[in-house]
Amino acid sequence: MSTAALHAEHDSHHHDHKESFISKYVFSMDHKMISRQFLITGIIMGLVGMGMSLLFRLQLAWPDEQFGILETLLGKWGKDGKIDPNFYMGLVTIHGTIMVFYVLTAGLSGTFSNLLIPLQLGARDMASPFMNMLSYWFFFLSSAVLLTSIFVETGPASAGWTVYPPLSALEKAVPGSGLGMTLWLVAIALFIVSSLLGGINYISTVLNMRTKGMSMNRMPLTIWAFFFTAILGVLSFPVLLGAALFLIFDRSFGTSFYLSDIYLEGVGALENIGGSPVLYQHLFWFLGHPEVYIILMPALGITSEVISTNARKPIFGYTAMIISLMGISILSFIVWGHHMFITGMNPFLGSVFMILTLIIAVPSAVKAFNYLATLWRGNLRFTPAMLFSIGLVSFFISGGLTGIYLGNAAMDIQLHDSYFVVAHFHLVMGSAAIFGMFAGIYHWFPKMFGKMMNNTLGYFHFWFTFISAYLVFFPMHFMGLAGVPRRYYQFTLVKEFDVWMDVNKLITIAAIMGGMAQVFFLWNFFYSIFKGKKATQNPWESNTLEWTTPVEGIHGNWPGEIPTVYRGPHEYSRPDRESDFFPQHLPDETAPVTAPQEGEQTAPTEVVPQETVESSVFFAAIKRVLGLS
Amino acid sequence: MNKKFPKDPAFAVAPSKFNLWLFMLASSMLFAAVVSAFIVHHPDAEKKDAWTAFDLPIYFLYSMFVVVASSVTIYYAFKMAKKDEISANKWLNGITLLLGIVFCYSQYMGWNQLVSLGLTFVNSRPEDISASYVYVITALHVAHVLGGIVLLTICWIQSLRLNVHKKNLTLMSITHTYWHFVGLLWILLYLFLYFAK
Repeated sequence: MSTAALHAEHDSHHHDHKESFISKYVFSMDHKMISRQFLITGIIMGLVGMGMSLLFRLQLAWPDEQFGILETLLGKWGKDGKIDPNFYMGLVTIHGTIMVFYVLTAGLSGTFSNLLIPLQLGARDMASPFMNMLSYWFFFLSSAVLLTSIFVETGPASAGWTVYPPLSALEKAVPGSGLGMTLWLVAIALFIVSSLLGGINYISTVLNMRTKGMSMNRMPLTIWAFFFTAILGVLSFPVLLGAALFLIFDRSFGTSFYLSDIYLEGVGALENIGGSPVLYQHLFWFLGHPEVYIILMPALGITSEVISTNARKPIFGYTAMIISLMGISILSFIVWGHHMFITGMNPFLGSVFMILTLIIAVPSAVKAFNYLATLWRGNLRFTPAMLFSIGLVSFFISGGLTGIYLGNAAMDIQLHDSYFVVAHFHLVMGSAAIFGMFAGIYHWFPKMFGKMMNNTLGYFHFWFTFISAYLVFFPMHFMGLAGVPRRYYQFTLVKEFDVWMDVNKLITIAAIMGGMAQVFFLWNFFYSIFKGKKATQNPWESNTLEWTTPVEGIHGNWPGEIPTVYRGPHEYSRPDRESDFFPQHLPDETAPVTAPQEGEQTAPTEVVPQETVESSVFFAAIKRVLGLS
Repeated sequence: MNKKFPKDPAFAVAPSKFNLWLFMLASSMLFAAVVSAFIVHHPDAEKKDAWTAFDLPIYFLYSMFVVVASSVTIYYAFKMAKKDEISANKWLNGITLLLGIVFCYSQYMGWNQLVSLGLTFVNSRPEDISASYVYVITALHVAHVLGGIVLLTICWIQSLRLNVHKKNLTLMSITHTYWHFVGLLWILLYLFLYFAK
């Protein structure tokens, strides 16, 4: 049997089956459905995470006040209307874990990689739809385990989202290091499996399943971002698995990977010797730093696409954008030490990590300037997605600048574990990435659900969220500079920090405002799914392939042949075209005919789309990107 | 939907094969992490008493010979499949599977040998953490080998059903690649553990 016949047989076999409710909505293997599942699970997890942040903000602003509702809501954790200190630590930990892994990794990357990789590249589905389905269900299981851990007797894990041993390794250290911590580790192990299944699929699809003419250097920047994100995930998540395994062994089997002969009150010195908690930090941050970019890069990719479309201009420096993504990806693996400057690291090693860290400012700045240059003198269309993208650029700059301070070993010794760090990463990866996610939701909602979201509600959502995010995180810089440490339960007990109580109140009020603003979004999102205005096929007049598929989103994406691609994704406002966009799949029949040079053949040259299936597309693309061919 | 799609561009590599490469990359990172942890944890000269030094069980060396032999047999199995020598392929698949099981048994004997030296995974003496590393590294490797044995079993059954031949090579090729991967991994891990003691 020839390959073609095999394919045909496979196709007919694959598309003949009838879809039941379960295979369509629950164990779906369709990438569009899986992306919706990821998004909605992500939004629910996001609400839980945000709710937790409001609870601990309440404690920080009014530590002596009693809120009767807390006792009703939290039971023994909110006795007399005050949050229990151990539960406070649990809230901080689970808030961080949920936001970093469940919302901004799975919710962001899982949603948009799944939706856009096949649609923007012209593929029927992912390389392995089955693995894709498994990826979602491992994620779901992992979320369920993590949420369960909140309700156990001893409370959820409470050693901070980085779960450093020995705090996390010793059950006697804090109540949260009991069952809660075990469940945390199980949840993260499941999450790693999910993330690997997803990431392997994304890479494989990007490299192998592009449609005719879609060479690597014609891929939308979203896809480039998802591609590098997936590579980072595949290379770094296994290391976290190793770290978690050792932690499990130390906790449950009595080994000495991280534990040494430390002294515990009431217990005496532990029997372990030689274990090193710093080893955990090395393993954790080898994942942890790439993880920051796993969170941020998809948001940057989405922003590139949204800004270019809504500025009606080609993205400024397409190649530079790809090279800076590549640079950020490579550098992200060799800078983990900057999280560990105060662990007693050799100062020489510290300065190596410092220099490498500061180099990241270069590709990041290239990206920021390119966004600004794309906006410069564009025909800006301020859709909600565009506003959120511009918001991302704002957070990326203001949060990124403080990264330069923190990356300096000498400054970091002062600023480490202070509110300055909290402010920095909440702006540059928290707010920026969540704004990227919102931009993506507003922009691709018509593709996901076939409906439009309400713009007015979108504007309200944007402005309230944007203003409150700055009100929450900007003052934290000053608190951090004054030495206020993060993760403290109550500041009124320390005279030096008591002066910041007004600021803490301001921050909490702003946080509540930001939380309320999400009601605009939730209403808009869920209402529009059912009752929104029906979307047209290409509502944003965009160039990329996903807008050539039918609005209702069919299995296999295109009813007929997959369109062929003739040019790059960002050709807006070409002077030779009447309309200000030129979709990738339209052939070049209207291209201006230049006067033939002397001696050149005058026969019309045929536009030959580039073959996708050449032997080493990847290397050819790298060569082209680097200008070698 | 009963409509057949027009022919789409063919894949350069079978998606399952490509996914396997990426999986191997990911698990290499896991081993790299565990091995680096070993290197970082390994104490310097004056703290030698926090680390038990011991010779690796001889069975781990036997395992290496077994794994080399199985790599040879699967290499020929794949070659035979490509030549449509179905009965030779069947036998070679079976022998590779057998060698895979022998490998696991040999590793098990190696662990027994460690236990008989008093070096258990759950440390009776805290300085036996070196043994815990050996257990973790070998157990993670055996977990990968078990995956390979599952693949080999499927492949063997398929070859008994005459489903492995020149025109149906994907499964054989995946098994072949993966088995070489776990084999090479053991050789590297053994050499590392041998010289790092």
